[in-house]
Amino acid sequence: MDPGLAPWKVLAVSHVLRNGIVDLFFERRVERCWRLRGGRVVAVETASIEGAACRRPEGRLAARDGLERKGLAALIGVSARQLPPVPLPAAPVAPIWDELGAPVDPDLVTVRWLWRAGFVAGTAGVSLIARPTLLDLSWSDGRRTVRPWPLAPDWGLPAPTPLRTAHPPAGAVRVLLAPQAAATLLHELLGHPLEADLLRAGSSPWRQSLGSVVLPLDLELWDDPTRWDLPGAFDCDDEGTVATPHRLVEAGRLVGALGDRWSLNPDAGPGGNARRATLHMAPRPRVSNLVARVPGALAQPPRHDADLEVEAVSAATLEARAGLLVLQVRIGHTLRHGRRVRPLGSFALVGQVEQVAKGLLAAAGTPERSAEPGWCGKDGEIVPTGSEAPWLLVEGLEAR
Amino acid sequence: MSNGSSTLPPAAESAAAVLAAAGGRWEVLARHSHTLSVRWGAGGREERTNEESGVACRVTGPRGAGFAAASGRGARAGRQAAEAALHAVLPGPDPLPPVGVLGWSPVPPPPPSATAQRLHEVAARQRHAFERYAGIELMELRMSSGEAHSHLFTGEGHAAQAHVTGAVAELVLAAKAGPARLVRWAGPSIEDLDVAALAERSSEAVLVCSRGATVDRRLADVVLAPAAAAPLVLALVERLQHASGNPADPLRSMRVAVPWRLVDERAGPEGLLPQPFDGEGLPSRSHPLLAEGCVGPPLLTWGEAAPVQRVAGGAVRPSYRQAPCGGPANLVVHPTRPLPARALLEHLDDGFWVDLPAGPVQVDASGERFTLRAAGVAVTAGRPMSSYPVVELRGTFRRLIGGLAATGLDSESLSLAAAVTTPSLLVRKLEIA
Repeated sequence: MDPGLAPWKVLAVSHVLRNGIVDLFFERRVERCWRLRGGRVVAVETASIEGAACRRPEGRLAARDGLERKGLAALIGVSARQLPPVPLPAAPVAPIWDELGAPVDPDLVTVRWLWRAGFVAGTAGVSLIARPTLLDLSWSDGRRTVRPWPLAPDWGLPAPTPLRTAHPPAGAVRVLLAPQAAATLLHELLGHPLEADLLRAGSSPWRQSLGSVVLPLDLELWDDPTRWDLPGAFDCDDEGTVATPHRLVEAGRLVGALGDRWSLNPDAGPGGNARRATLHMAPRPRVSNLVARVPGALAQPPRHDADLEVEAVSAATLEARAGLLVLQVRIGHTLRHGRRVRPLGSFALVGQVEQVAKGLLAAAGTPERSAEPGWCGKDGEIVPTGSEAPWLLVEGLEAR
Repeated sequence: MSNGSSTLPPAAESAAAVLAAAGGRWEVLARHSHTLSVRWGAGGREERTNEESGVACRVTGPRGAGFAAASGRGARAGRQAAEAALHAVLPGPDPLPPVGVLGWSPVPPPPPSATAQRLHEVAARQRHAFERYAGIELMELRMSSGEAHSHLFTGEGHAAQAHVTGAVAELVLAAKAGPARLVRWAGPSIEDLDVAALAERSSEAVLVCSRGATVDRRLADVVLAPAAAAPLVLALVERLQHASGNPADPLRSMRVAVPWRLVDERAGPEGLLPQPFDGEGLPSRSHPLLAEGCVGPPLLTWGEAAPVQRVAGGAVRPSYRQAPCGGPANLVVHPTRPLPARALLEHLDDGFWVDLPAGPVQVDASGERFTLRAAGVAVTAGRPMSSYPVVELRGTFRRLIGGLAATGLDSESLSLAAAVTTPSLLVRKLEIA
């Protein structure tokens, strides 16, 4: 154990737990943002942020910026003299532009470098929390991606959005989703709805389906925060539970859910998926990195069997109560006889969750890493996520 | 607002000390905010107390200009921000406004922010108000009340401070059938919330649009309820801001529909968040963005405006962590020749009433076309005919600028990326799908 953690373990036992505190969370982060015009850096903004949060029973959370001892003591309810030094690691020096390895691209408008470390003391003990350093890239055409930094050289950046595109005819379509788009579909179709707070609240479309086969496809799906090559990784979740991969789907059957300590129940699995968007937010069960495998996947994407091919999506949402899934397509193509015949863009694919699940017809190719859906929002709380998925052939969606 | 005579937090004083020792021109902004939030829903109850505080420094000198920020109120935070700003200097022009243009405008005094007990009481009353609507389930209720104090001062001796308060409510509602809907309200104080009126208005809208089929794609005249109009107004202003950087952008010279009177009312009293000065200390004033049939000048910082002899005063800082940038703060669509809701609908021979947005405005890669998913009701000869739980409203920003035919009397405020206050808007020939 880090020697800095021992006094906090003592404090946690002697004071925190006796005073009805669920946990104390400390965080330090550094963000540096470069603003660009025509490929040239025109401004740099650096922010060093640290603070603490105290969670009490019945959903009460108090959080404050800064780690000044007086403020921390008031937050926790101890005297300043009782407080050991907060054992957060020192922030690294943020890189300069030349050290960043960002792509040279005149359409790039912002590049953000993000480093974040945490420390939690509570019922589960005391833990330091590490996460990958991230790079968040935004382009003038709406593209955005967030990836572990330094950027992996073999991982291509999102393709530019074509300016001249058409809409497909409205109506039911059979769609071939490239790995990035497939990952986003799986995130909305199976990731979000298997978060334990949605299951408990009864708002997940899968609330009655745990243990059932819901997919015709022999899909295996894991939430894997231990994949440090993907942006949603962590070594402990924000309640201090050591990160482990959780199986969510096995051979098309729903076998697990994403849980935190609060929502621990037989359906929610062992916890370990609690994430905070910022220290000012309470931890909630969230997707980290979704990893999909399909034994016996086709060698090549089945373009002959699809009406449309979707290469990239710009956004996706799940309206959990209505079970409605929406993919906002950024780049697509009409297919005819297995060939791309017309570029498509900026339209929506909409489907009912159960129909789309039943409409997962085939998978193809080797699963590919994807930084999609990237920043994932839930009630305005945003965390980075990643995925690895193969191509998917899907019916049950309508073009609108 | 005052001339900044009150005691500065230690973070601001230590930042000033570091910057003064380094020489050159500088500016320090220290901000402290306190927010109370309650959240109630099937998943349980939450109560949050958040204190966000920090200090931001801008410096300029012979080597260029730099910006950095650090969280906290203590002296360490101030030193950290100042030293980081000095190390982040990039070659470029001086972005700091001269002291002669700095100042403040009188603004209405902010109301007091709510106590936790009061927030819980209003939340309980809001929940109770829905009990009379049997067909409506209040799935989640979130309410927040907060206040923020800002101190801005410069190496040349200018000092000013601002105090703002605000409250928001967000309700997730659902009829027995149909999707969940997010309903938003914002005001200067939680005491401004009429819980009975919000329950009545939102329940009616949710019930009307709970069932229906999908709509065939077509052009139609559309009445945008304030909740649907507000995000489109904000997207339009962001598009106009983008146009300001391109002299050839056709939006800059296009003819604006006469009913448009869209103004960034920085100093109030209209709108949600009047403030005495902009994000870099220039006195607040009105910025007409669409008025008198013309597109107005963009919202610019001093650093953007001065080199091209344009007018500054349009800087915003959504957070102390961000350097000032040009953008909207307190948008108000002033009703011109306003019509009551019934009369607006009577202007629809064959059109749609659109409300209850489901997600943000999507803008395509060209920046010209927008899409907003929302609920819709088909209206023929002024009479509601059929409802659609989800429609896609599509169009171009050119159409939005040129197609406004009338406005309503029902102005509401929403707290989005900027504060937006707008009545219902009747726009001709948008695409419904």
